[in-house]
Amino acid sequence: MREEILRAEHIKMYFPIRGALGKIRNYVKAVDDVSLSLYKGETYGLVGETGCGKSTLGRTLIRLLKATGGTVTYKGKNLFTINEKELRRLCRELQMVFQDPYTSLNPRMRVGEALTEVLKIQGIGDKDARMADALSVFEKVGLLPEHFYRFPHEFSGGQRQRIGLARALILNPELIICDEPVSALDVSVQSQIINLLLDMQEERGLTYLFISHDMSVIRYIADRVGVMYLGHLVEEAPVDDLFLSPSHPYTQVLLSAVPSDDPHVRKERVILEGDLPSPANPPAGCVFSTRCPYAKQICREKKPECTDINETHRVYCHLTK
Amino acid sequence: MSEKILEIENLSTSFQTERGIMKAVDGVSFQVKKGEVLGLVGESGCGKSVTSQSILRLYDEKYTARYEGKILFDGRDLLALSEKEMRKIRGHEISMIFQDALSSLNPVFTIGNQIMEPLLIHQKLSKEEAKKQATELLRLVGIPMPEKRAEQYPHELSGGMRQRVMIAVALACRPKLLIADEPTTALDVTVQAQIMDLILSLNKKFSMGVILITHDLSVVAETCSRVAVMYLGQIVEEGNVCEIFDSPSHPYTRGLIQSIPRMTGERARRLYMIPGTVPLLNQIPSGCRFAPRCPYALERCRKQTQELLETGTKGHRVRCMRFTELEAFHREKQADGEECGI
Repeated sequence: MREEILRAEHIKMYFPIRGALGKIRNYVKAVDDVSLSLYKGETYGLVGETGCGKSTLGRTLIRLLKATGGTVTYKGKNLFTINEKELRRLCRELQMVFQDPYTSLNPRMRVGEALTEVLKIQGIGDKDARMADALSVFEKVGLLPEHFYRFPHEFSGGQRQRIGLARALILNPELIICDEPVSALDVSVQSQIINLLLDMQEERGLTYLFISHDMSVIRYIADRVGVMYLGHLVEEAPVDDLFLSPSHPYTQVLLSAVPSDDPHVRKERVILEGDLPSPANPPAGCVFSTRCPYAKQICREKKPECTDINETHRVYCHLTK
Repeated sequence: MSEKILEIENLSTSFQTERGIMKAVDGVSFQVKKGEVLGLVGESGCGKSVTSQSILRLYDEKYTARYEGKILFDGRDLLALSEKEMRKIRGHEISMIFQDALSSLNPVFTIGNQIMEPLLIHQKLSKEEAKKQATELLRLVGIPMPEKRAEQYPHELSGGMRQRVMIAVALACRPKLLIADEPTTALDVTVQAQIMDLILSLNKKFSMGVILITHDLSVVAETCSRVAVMYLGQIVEEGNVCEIFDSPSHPYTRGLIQSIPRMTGERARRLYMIPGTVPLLNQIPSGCRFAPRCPYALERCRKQTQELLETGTKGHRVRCMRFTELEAFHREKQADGEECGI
């Protein structure tokens, strides 16, 4: 059996909506009761549309946001209850790469400094050692030593994403949460960054939680995939299973909406009616029931339980037999 | 039948900037026929948006922008028209939809008001008449409860809805040509599917020409009949969508197509990469503009410039001096691959 490095159970992240005088009127249920496990060396793809809570989940998992409920166990330790000091040490192993390389780098800090700062905060090495470390990571991600003293605005989008990745790699992490790292990039640059991520994984045995809305990127990079809708995980399966035999109606709709890359095949699509319901006021029963083409009475009344199709494929739907 | 509605001949657009004159579009020629969907693709900074906005002359001609060449729309040269005549064409005979609907719609007017505007200005309808038509248009683009929605403001709608409203504004006067500049880039796939379906059904219904600008090749594969691929302000390849995807002749087109992760079939261990990045406009390489990033570039590619030439197949043009050699090379490679059972 593969080694489980992170297990999240019943994660809930509710953001309060405050009325006058700061009284809490309601909650936006950004993540509602999500459980998943990450195994060492794998890439877990988290996919879903805007506002489905995938980024919030990613941030909650490494305690960048304080979860409303649930537990995250990383190597036997409960991440939500350990103290600040221990958390800081664990930060070395849990890193994040953000979508927007323009805003996630300090515009007034030279990129070399941004890299060494990470080591300084963690109290690793002396000045020269930190410098040497930073330079070697710099070259690893395909940047030139002469770029070391430049400012972020002097780089292109793809290069900035490389810097973001270098900053995550410099501490030799175990797990990197990649939050839409290639969504802002052109296809040719996107493929460069994806290949770089794969190379780094091969070399260091990294585990990725790869968050994306792009099904074709997920299909390429992920080993297992979780599909989210309105704060809920609706289906989880190994990548080939999910793309060949999607079980949840939402996964089916999502896959059918992806344009085919072959001009000879113009497929018939399932077009989804209406808009995403508000996460402050999610539908009772199954969250997808308001837009599901197969919804029955039971779907509108009762929340679906987890159904195991096989050992690795699970789905939350009443209609799965 | 195949009536040309737009014919662009040798269009160049240059801008006066602090760092000198930048030629963002350099000698672009293409045509759009009635009822046709033409895809204009390329990476950021290749001049696809500038080309489309030049058609409507949206840049400041007084101080910064300069157009050269000819844009024949229905037989008239748009570049020779006066500003007043041009205004009669914008939003009336040629309409445009943009990527970001929230910043393209006016936040202080209701949606109904904004759809009525072109009707009042161009078609000189009465207010009641325009209001009725606006509601009709909202229904046409698939917005539920159009009477109620017409009274709302842009911020009250979702991204997909806003995009629909913008399409309604663009279609108000039944334009002959619709320019869609990355209409679905900011949207989710399921909403993208809704919007592309809408654009295509309207294209069939009114047989208007559509120029679809996008960097997403799968959207092109799915919707367009013809494609023009741009690189650094020039068209490098143009042709029928099936031809381009089956046997891309230009190395840049080939690279672009190979770098998209596939939705079907085997996954390669590594994705294809085009090395390097698009150079800046003031650092345009001499010779073939793609040569520094091209895996097949020879000495002569770096020295001589190349024209866009017919490949032999009708309507297929390519800007590469080695394309016949490369075509044979790739055909051989493909044949080899099939024999090995790859």
